[in-house]
Amino acid sequence: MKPPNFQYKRPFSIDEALAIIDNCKDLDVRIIAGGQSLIPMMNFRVAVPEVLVDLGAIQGLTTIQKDSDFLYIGAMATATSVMQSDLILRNAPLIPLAYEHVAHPTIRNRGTLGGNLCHCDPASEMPMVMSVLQAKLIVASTRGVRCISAKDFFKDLYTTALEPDEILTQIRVPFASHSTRFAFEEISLRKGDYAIVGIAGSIETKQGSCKNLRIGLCGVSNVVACFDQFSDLTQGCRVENIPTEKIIERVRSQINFESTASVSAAYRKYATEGLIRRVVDRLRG
Amino acid sequence: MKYDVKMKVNGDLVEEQVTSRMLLSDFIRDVLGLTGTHIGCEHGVCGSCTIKIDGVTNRACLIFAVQANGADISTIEGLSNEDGSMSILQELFSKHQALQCGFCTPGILLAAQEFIDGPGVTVDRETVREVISGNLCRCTGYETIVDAVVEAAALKIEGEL
Ligand SMILES: Cc1cc2nc3c(=O)[nH]c(=O)nc-3n(C[C@H](O)[C@H](O)[C@H](O)COP(=O)(O)OP(=O)(O)OC[C@H]3O[C@@H](n4cnc5c(N)ncnc54)[C@H](O)[C@@H]3O)c2cc1C
Ligand code: FES
Ligand code: FES
Repeated sequence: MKPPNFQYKRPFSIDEALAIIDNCKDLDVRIIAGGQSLIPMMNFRVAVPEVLVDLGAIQGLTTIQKDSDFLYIGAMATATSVMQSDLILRNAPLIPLAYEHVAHPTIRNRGTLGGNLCHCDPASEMPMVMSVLQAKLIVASTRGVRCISAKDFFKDLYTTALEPDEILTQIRVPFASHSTRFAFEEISLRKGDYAIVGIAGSIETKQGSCKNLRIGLCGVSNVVACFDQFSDLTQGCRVENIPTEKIIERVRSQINFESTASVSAAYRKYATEGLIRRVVDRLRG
Repeated sequence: MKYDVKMKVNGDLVEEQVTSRMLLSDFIRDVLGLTGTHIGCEHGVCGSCTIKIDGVTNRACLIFAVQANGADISTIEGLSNEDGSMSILQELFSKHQALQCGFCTPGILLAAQEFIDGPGVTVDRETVREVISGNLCRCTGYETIVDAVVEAAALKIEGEL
């Protein structure tokens, strides 16, 4: 199917974009970033916006920089540019590791990190990865700028903390210390399809002992899931001795596994156990 | 309302007026008459509409023509040699029988050419399978496509392409 017509706006600055949104208060206004989720929805007429505000011509929204504490990723940086960034590979290697599983090279050439996060599909890898990495999201409106932590940003199925007049401008990712280990595992029908189950793990190791184990899951339920309450299991533990089965049990007991047309809840649960085991094995080294 | 668009397509300057709803895939086929860009699914899944925008592959069904204002586009019609003869990759598809009905072929050729020209080019079959994972083929079973791309990759690595 084809979408109906809409007003097309192509602002050159964030301020101009925000002013357009403010001026169209009574209309259904949508931001378009890479369009790799929005245009399929428009072609199906699931989304029927009256005004599209294209962020593609705004300078400075694609830059990737760092200072001593954070990586700063512009919301319009494409998946391909994020995957190929040396800065990101060195300071947040979980991101390129997980991006390997996001869509296909051609989709990644146009799809943006910001759009992927705002779309907030619970089967999507990046919202979960940003939760595990404790990223912060910077959003702007004519009312000012807010900084929202990942755990507060991803609310529900396709629902974020963004107000209708807000634009995500930047993603701030804290640096991984050299002693942090990461792992990522996923099962999908074909490589690049949305996850049936995807799992990320991170753990900090210091002088043999470990702390701050975090496990994120995508695809298993309606919401982005990230668990970090493991200190009683990992306290004073050497990383190679972390109790895999107890970790699996703790995560499993907190998830409401969903059935979908092609995958039963029972299979998701089974696959989740297997993948957590693999992720924890990798973290042990 | 109509929007003015100006873009380069396979080296030629094109100036037209489009409605906002017109997908770039429809613009290329119906307005420019370049029917080598195929349309299968119109939601990004099949890859048959793959084209290049500003040097990288894109889904022509997932961008509106109005968004491509100012872009440099190349389609499958731009892949052959200047004199109209087939490129080496195209010859290899023919040699390996990497197509039957040919519906998927334009998209797969562009995706494969991007891989061959890119920094990660390798003859590893698993990698090649991943490169074409976004393109569906209902005829070949992919094996012969992988054969053709692997041979092209080998030529590229040896500096003969
Ligand atoms: C065949 C196919 C397979 C895919 N497989 C996967 C996969 O395995 N995993 C995965 O995660 N994704 C997958 N995707 C989706 C892909 O990653 C999208 O690129 C991504 O979800 C959206 O990014 P975008 O830049 O294209 O955003 P758009 O489609 O432009 O926008 C998505 C939504 O976010 C809003 N938005 C975008 N940017 C902003 C902003 N800066 N501020 C406020 N709101 C904004 C838009 O209004 C819209 O509602 C797939 C897509 C396709 C077509
Ligand atoms: S028609 Fe564009 S991907 Fe199928
Ligand atoms: S050759 Fe027929 S779809 Fe690929």
